[in-house]
Amino acid sequence: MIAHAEKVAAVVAVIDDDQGIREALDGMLRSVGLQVECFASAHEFLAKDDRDKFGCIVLDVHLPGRNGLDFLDDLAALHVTTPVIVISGFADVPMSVRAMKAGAIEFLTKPVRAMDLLAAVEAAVKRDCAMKQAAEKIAGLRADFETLTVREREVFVHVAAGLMNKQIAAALDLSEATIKLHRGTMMRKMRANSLADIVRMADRLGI
Amino acid sequence: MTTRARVMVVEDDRIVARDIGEQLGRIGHSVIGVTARGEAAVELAISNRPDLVLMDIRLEGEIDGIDAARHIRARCQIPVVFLTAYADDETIRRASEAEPFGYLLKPFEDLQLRTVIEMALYKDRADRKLRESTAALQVAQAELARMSRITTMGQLTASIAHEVNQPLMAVVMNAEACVQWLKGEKANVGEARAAAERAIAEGHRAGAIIQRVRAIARNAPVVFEEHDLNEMIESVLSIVQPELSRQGIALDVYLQPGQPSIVGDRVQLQQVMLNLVSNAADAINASGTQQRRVTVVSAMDPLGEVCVTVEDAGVGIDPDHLDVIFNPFFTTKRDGIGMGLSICRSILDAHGGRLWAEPRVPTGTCFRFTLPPRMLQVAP
Ligand SMILES: Nc1ncnc2c1ncn2[C@@H]1O[C@H](COP(=O)(O)OP(=O)(O)OP(=O)(O)O)[C@@H](O)[C@H]1O
Ligand SMILES: [Mg+2]
Repeated sequence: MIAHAEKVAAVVAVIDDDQGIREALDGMLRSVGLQVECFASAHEFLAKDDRDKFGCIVLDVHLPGRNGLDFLDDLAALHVTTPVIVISGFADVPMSVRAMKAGAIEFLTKPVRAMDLLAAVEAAVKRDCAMKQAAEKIAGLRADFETLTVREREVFVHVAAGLMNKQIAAALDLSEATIKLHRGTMMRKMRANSLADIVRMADRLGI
Repeated sequence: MTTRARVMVVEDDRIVARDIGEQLGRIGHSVIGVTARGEAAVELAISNRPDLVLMDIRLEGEIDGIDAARHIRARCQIPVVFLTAYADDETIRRASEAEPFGYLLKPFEDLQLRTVIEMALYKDRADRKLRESTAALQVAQAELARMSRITTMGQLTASIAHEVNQPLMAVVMNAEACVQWLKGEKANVGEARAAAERAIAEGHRAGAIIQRVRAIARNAPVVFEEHDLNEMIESVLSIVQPELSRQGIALDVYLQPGQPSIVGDRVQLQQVMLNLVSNAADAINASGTQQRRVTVVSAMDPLGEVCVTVEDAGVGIDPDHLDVIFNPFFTTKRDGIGMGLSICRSILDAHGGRLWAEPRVPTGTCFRFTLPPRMLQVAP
């Protein structure tokens, strides 16, 4: 079992139509200090609006009504990136392949061992944290970029492309001194210390 | 000439008894016992196993010849011929109820005695043969039904395994949680106890599933008993339900409450449900219909006749085939055996009920079976 589960603040969503399994999973995950919320159907989960708090979804693909795997497609369509651990009673290879293709990060077969499930939950939550942090970073970067003037943005693009001040001045039909000035303001606004920083940011921003 | 028969004589008049003994000797049979009392006649018949009993109706002792004959028939199926000097209507009525193999009016000639004995022995041999072949047929039918049941259950194993897997997984998870709650200094006994209790409940759930499955697969003799129709239907549907939902087929069940109990063999009637529902699922899968549901309805008419319907919107049945589908080995499926419906029909025949198929509008099929009201039901 994971010893440092207490550190995980994220909530685990359990989606399973079988009440017995739902209660068992809930109890087991809570016993190691995780926060849990249970849903009897994919529909119930999708009806929830504060889905952002979930760090991981434990999904039984044998749900009534529609196949649990279709639910994975729904999540993708809604741009929900929360990692999904799929649990299935039937360990067939095509199903596990489909689950992984649809974006599940782990496919476990019933009866699932608590150890395996906890390891998967830990990995999922970690990945979710990393993804959320990365998303935050990009959002920050984008906000910084928004503060640049049109000129400064042009300079940014050229700097990121590896051009020297002289070359940029020629390209924009300005004096080298003006470019130097714009470049200094741009670096400060973007909180960049080096050319390498700018290149990385451009990459992240998709420029 | 027939073989020498071993005859028992029950006659309260000793002189008549002695005369009959002599007559029997003359026509080639032997006497293996003589008594004047009804009770003694029953005991002697059981211990000596004569081929035939000649029975006077008026006897010494508590019971008369008719009662004695009835006991003998019931206990060892030995043919009885009544001897009587007088015959009022009431006596004849009672005597016929004891299934006699013949009557002789006293006094009688050698030839009369010989004819009646030969006819009785002949009828007894024929009866015996019929009984044996009926018994053999019943055994064969029950065995066939069981094999088919096991085949059907075999097709359900994946889902049954899944069904048992669910509570097993819950048991393990709950036990792990229980251990975890008890760990360390901040042990939470309340949570641990709750987890342990859930584990127990789930263990029972697994047991109940296995019991239901075993009840259907077991090699039990056919027994006609009183059952709650709806409970019986629910229990068997819970076995097929997971397989249906695995195939993405919904099961709609409408059971009219307050059904009278029915008399029948539970396992066999459940087998009928199993076959009809699995055929319905096959028909749905073969049709590509969007209506992926099997509907099961139970209802009772005012006279107490019970009617159960299994309906699907699947491929449907060619109107020319509505009857032949019940023939053994009739199948339109690549891996079908074609025994399902034929077994269902023979089961309903044995229950005094009926089974038939009707086309459903606009598509699909509706199978119905009826069971007679309880008061009309008879165990075979
Ligand atoms: N609900 C249904 N809808 C359409 N056709 C049906 C339905 N039920 C039965 N049939 C037809 O009746 C035939 C005989 O059914 P039956 O159950 O006796 O045998 P089977 O299902 O073919 O094989 P098995 O012995 O495996 O049950 C089927 O092959 C099918 O053509
Ligand atoms: Mg069939």
